[in-house]
Amino acid sequence: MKKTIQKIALLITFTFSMLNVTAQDRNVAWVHGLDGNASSWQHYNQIFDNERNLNSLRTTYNTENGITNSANQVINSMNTRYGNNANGANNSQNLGIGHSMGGLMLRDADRITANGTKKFGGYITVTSPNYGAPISNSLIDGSVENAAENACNKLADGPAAQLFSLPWGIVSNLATNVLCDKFIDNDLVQGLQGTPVTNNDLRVGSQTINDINDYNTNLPRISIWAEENSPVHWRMISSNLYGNDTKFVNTVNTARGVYNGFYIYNTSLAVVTGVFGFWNPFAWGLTATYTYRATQWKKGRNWIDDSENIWSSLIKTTRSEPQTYWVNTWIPCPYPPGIEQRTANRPPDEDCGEWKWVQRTRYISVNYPSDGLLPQYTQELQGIPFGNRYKVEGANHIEVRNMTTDGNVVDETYEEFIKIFNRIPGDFFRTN
Amino acid sequence: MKKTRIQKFIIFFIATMFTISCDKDYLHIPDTNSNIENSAKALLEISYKMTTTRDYEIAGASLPDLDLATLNPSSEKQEIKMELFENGQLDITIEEVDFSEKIRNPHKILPDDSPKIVKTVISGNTIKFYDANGKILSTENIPIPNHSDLVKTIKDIGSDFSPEDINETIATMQGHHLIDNLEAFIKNLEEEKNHLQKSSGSPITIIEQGDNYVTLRMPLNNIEPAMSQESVLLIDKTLNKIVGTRIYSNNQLLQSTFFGYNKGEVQSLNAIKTIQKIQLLSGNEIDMISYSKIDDMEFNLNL
Repeated sequence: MKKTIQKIALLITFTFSMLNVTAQDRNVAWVHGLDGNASSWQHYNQIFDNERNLNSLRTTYNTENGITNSANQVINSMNTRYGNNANGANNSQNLGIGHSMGGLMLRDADRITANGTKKFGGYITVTSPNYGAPISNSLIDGSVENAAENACNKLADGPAAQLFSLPWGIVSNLATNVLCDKFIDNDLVQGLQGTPVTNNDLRVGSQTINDINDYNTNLPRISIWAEENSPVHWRMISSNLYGNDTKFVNTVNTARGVYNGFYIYNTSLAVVTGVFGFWNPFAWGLTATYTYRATQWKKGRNWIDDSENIWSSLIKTTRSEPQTYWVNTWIPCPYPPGIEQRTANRPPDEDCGEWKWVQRTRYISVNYPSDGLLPQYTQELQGIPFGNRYKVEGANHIEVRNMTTDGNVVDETYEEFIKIFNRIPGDFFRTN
Repeated sequence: MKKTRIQKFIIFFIATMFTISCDKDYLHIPDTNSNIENSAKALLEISYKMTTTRDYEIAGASLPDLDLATLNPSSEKQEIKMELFENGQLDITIEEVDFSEKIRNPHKILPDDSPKIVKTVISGNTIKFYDANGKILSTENIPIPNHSDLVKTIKDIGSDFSPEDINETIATMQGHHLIDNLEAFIKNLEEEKNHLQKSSGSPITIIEQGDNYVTLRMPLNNIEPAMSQESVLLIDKTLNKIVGTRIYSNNQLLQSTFFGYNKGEVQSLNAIKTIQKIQLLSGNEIDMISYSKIDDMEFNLNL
């Protein structure tokens, strides 16, 4: 009896030690995206190397020459790191984890390798433009540049009307031209602009994107998508600039407050001079001036309010939807031959001079979830089980690689990786 | 064990309260009823509530998505208090007010959880922003001009008219003296062959005059020498008030503004409608229409 127990104990110990060897031998390639390098996945690579004893590969790829070129670099790095054999780079237990374009590189590596030489037995795409990056289309057709130029004009109108020299420093370290240029002056967009081949590859409808999606793979796949809180664009740019998603948001809020302050300041002076015109009609010239200035400042403030809609439209995560709303309207009475109705020659509106609530229905632009750069619909891989889709809430395209930077105590990306690595026994992604 | 936890909690609680109480930002909750930065008595005080709706004349036009993204309607309500001091300093307090009729566009994204500016205080050349708890969010220096010219204008009115006249005009918001002043102003223009030039500014001209109205063209370089725009003022001689302005640049209309007034005993300003050309991202132009409803206006002059 004692011997039987000893044998069982030995068997259990042996079995677990074998499982442990298998776990230790699991090769994982952490693949960065267009804007990244070897350090992009450092945070989670180090955590899971400690927790799961992975045999990780993390290196820098040159992403300037398109998706397939980059995919070949991934294949070569796997062969170099693990050896081009069945127990090494071609081991069916190998796992790939790719951020952004890195996910496409893994999918393309799957497409361009034959059975038996595939480098991964399965992979995880993290905030990847699986069906193309609409921002690339907006860059190519000039929409991003137009939007930035339009923004610069609107932000400059208030300071120009106030006779401030341009560019004007709205708040510390943020001038009018800097704020509007952030649309095209962040590393992600710059990275795309600086690599026309890759930008063209990443656009929705490109041949490479179509080829990747036309390929039927049997490999198990997971897609992790991220949804950022509003304002998605400033949060992503903030993560890009400062390594956290709030600092730039606060700066922009302050800038908005400055524009609003000047708008109200000029409106109030228009009201005051409107009264002093009773005694000195010349003051009404001031009324006109202050009213004009107020609307110019309001233009800049409105742009800041609308900028998320504009950015969301550039990354194509908006939809036109009918909306019914109420507007409290006021109809001025005609002054024949007044300045407004002189040419209209229409009878006075019976409601003129009165406030009236009017219900309106028209199409408006509604923003849908994104990580600040990519819409949900391109991040989420289709054709995989619903349970293979994971979401990191409150994350943008940059910070999803390290969610300890967002100021709360929860590392949301880590939580999702834990769920994936703890999937049921026998699942490809379960990692002991 | 339990005792230790309680002790730790008490220490934590006291430490937290001590930290909060030592934070000057928490101590300094601005009082809306008085100017927090300037204890001097204001020469002029004005306060009002302004509810503004912004919308666009789309009229069934089919617009590109990118254009439509800039054309969502919006509304806001603000309580505003302005004070002008003898030294020309102008202070303003702005409070954002939520209201049930506010237009809420149904975006399907996670909400903004960053602290909102609900109060703005401009005093001297400083602008301060506060959240809903009165905690200061940020402070910036801004170049607010000194308004000693406006102070002088007010003082001149004080010396030209009796306090009773001024008080009655302010109380009723009716320009009892406007016709006399306006007639003198227009006569002056006519005597100058429709040309009146103030200092280095361009001539002010009468465009048209009827029994009940007059329209004047006033180049804005009369106000600021560096401004190149021209304004057209529409003055209602029955209401004794300005009812509209237009701004032109190189004969191109930039914006029209209309003013409306309460009827009855106190004819204070209650409406501002602005129509402004906005350039869309496609390069097309569209009219932005803004309605501002003014409520509870109070105007105090302390001459």
